[in-house]
Amino acid sequence: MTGPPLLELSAVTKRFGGLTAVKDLSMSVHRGEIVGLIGPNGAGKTTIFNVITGVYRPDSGTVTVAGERVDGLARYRIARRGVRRTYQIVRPFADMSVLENVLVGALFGEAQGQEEAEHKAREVAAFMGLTGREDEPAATLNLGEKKRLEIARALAADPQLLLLDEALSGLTPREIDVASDTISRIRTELGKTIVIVEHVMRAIMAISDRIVVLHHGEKIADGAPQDVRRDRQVIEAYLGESA
Amino acid sequence: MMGIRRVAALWRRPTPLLALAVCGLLALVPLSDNAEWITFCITMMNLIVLTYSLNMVVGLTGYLSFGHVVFWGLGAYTAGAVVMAGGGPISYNPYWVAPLGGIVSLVFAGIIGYPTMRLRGAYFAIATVSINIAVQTLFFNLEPLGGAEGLPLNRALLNLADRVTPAYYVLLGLLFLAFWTHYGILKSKIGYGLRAILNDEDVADTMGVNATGYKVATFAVAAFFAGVAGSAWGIFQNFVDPENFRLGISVDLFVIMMLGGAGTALGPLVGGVIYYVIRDLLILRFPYLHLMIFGVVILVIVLAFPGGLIGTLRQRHRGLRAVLE
Repeated sequence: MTGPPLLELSAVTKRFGGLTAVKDLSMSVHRGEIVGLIGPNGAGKTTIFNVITGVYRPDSGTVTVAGERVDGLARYRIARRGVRRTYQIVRPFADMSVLENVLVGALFGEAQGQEEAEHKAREVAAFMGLTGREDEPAATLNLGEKKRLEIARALAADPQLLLLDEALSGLTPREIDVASDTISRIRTELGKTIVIVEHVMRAIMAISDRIVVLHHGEKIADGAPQDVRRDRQVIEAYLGESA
Repeated sequence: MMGIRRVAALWRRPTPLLALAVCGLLALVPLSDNAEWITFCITMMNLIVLTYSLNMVVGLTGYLSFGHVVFWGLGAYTAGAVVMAGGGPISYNPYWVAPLGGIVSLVFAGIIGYPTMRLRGAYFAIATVSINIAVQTLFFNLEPLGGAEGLPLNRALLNLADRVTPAYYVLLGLLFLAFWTHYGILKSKIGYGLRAILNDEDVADTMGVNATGYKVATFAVAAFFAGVAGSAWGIFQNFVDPENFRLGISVDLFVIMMLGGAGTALGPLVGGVIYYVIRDLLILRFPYLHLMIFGVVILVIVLAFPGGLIGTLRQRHRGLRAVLE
């Protein structure tokens, strides 16, 4: 792995009043990696996404994207460094059609001009299996389609770093298989770097190169899926302290 | 070459054609030499431009600008102050001052928009009303500009006969420009950004849309149109006074906007013409009851077309959605 990591968090702490949601967290993600971020409910996974994308400012610590500090920058400026995310609870632009949703992503991404953006939007919609639904209002899609739409909207910007917040939860087992395969293809065919927060263990273990485990805002494990699965601390975090 | 073909493609779209047709008809009215019609159309076009200005804010950013008339009043006073500055008759066409009124309003909107457009929901609406009232109070007490009595401009504007026709074409040009601006925004990257903000501002922000910047810029551009209209109106009336800040004018603007369809490019034009024609006919027939009947008529239209005329047509007919904007 050459050059600085694409994403690096050093000693990031985020508190909400008396609650420390993320505590002294350091982690890095290199170009081309798929990193899974797991942990029990309330472990601070979504908070980390919010810190990376500028929704929250960290109380201490730094976040860098491609070697440049982004913590403290406005959200749209961080986005312009090539960071895109999806949301745990889907948030498509309900009044807009499927294609328009994706087009917003493309227009505010790397595409030059409206024609190129439209071309990009159609291409990405097709990649995410939304062909034929382009003109439907986004509100009429089912959950699985909405999750795909969110990924399409993020991908259309041609980001360097894609943050997927529970892209698989709530899907049927069959949908999970298809979506896992799509996420792998986003890396292999489109060359994206992905951080994915997930509860569906089987899928995340299968698609991630590396797993970072959080517990009460602290990192308790960071390694290959097969090692993490055997880690004592991880087993305790999931099954209870006295196990 | 691409640019030319793009412009040509635009003309195949009925929305700009419709606007152009209405403006073309309006352009013919002064040829009639009918002073009543001309004044009627000037009043109507002034309110339509103001509605376009309001529609850009309410329809495109979702913010309720209840004190929107403040930008019109500032435009009027800018024109008044400039033409009176020399203390005697002016040697230039007073309508050259009109863009300056627009710029004053644009800057003022930028200054008040930057802090207030971070507010959401009702707070912005309350802030704009407060600002409107505060500015009106200021001008009530600003003696150099006439205070509560107002400022007659006849010391500067001697050639009264020349005021009407230029006012007509200034407002007509401004009306078309306002339409074109709104239509252009809808079709552009900015329009998609604004629609994204309207749907979910936090998501838009994390997608690279500078939400605050877009909202303030739209607010400022909208205020520009209101300011130019205010300047033209002040010169046309030969008089500016604190009534130029009357909050009640906003009610007319909201009704016209809702009639036509908030956010649509044709809405203010269609809504404005219908509003004015119906109201005028009612005043002639029922001089005492016209407001009551007008209220009922508006109510019926709003119930039949809940999204405004253009908005409802767009919602009900998929085919129209692509062409009617």
